[in-house]
Amino acid sequence: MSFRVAIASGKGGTGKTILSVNLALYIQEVLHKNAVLVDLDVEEPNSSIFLKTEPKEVFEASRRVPKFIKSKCTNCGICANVCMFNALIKAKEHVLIYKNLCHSCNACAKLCPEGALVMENSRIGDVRVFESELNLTLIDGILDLKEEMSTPLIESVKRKSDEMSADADFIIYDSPPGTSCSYVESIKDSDLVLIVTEPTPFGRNDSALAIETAKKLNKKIKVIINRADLNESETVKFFSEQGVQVIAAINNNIKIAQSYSNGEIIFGKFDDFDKALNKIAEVIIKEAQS
Amino acid sequence: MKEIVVLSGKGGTGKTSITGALAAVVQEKIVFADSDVDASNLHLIIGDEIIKKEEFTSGYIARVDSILCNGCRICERECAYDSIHVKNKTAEINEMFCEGCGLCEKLCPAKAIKMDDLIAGSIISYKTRFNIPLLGASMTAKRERSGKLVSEVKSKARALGAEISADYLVIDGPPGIGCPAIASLGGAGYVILVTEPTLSGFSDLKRVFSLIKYFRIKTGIIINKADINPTVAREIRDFADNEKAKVLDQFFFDSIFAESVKKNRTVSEATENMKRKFENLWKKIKEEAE
Repeated sequence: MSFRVAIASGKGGTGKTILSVNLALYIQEVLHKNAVLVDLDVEEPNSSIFLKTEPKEVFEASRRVPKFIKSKCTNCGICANVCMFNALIKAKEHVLIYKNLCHSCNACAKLCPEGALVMENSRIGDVRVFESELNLTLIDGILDLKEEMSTPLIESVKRKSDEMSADADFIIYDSPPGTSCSYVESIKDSDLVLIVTEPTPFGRNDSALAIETAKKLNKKIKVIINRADLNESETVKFFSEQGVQVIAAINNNIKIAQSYSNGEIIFGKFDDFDKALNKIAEVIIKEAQS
Repeated sequence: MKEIVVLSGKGGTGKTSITGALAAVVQEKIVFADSDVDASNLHLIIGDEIIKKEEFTSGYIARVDSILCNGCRICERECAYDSIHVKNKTAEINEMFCEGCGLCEKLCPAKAIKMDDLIAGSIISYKTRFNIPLLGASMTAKRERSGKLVSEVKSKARALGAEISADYLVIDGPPGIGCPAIASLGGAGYVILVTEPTLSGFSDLKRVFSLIKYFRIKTGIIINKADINPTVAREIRDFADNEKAKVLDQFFFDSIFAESVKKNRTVSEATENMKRKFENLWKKIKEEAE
């Protein structure tokens, strides 16, 4: 069974994607283990930028929403009554459905006495599969514009990646920013959560929120400090007080930022970045064995 | 009251640093709000003191009466969110995943499940040293409630604005293009997009820009860390020209941004030069937002 590592952060822009892409390549190229990269930031997926390749396959993703069968509807209003999300409104002649408000709970279809509501698929975006020249498989999801709910698409991406990575040693999830629904969906099946933070009050505040949520899900959590200064003992202490270990620090380096800005692969170019990758990979392997 | 919303698509481009720096220079009657309810940070640089904290209830959560429950597993089977598991012949709700749809309550033959009001988070009013009110929120529920909480923060901010006859409401928004971003855009009169010249930043800018186009809201762009990649910065300017969006300003990469955050201060307070730059920026925003 593959070992799943979620790279998350709370705050956006701390370096999740740069780390996910390069860690997956490092595991593959240096450790000669099979890694599959999965980009779960379906609102703004960026991992594919670094692989510089077009999708090999695209699958439509959808979620379940009710459709009503006019001939069966007696306009009794039960569905509108049971819907807690106001997605169904009893109108003069028949019920109106507001797909955007629907949470796909199935209550209306289940409780309609006439069987006049059936759940059907409604498109929310695409799941895409990329194959890079470096022989790395990436699976990502891209949410349609105006679509509000990203969790069903994150689920679809994970399902597709499970299908495709039966023989992978490691699955690396590049998680979305934030600390609630999308983040929870992206870490809930992981074996290890790596929080990438930056040593500022913003970074610490949001990492702490992300850690609190991951703890409620009983996840193993480790921290990586990005854009670190020479001495990060204060940040290390901040996390150790929450019972979370800092396993690596990547020093602040404008050259890495420039290289990233062009969508370049970082590993193999900067000694201390490679050293950090090596440390992180060691921890992952140890955790996978335990 | 004109509503100005700051978004970015990509996280970590500098939304909060820039919004905070504006708060330090504005002269008008104005209210600031933080709609990044998942990971709010604006209070860390301008919110000096909490004046009021109110609980925000939204939606429901299922509770099981373990005495009445006979462990029949109907709820477990029917829950669309996999949030109910029967252990020792009693249903247990995983609160992280329960969406509060109420289907289990309605199907339970033993009437052992009741829906309870859910405390989704809290709305927090801060006092700032600039004599400007700041409204923020913290999210406790981790499911799909952030849109509701965003709307609540905004409605509280509007009420406060009406009370003090404010001319502007400035909202520091979330990353992404999903539910909290869409909720942040409702009622906006002008949008500021803070971007960075990286391929990821540019790609995310284009997606959030397309979303805003649907809402037909006038948009200005700020290019942060503009010198990191002059080529991509030029592409962003060309994009802005084509889309008839004004580039309001650009900032070069400067450690003063991170240094200020580390001191829980805004960059406008760091140097006279920065202060003037943000005064000019605010003037331009006002002209554009008219």
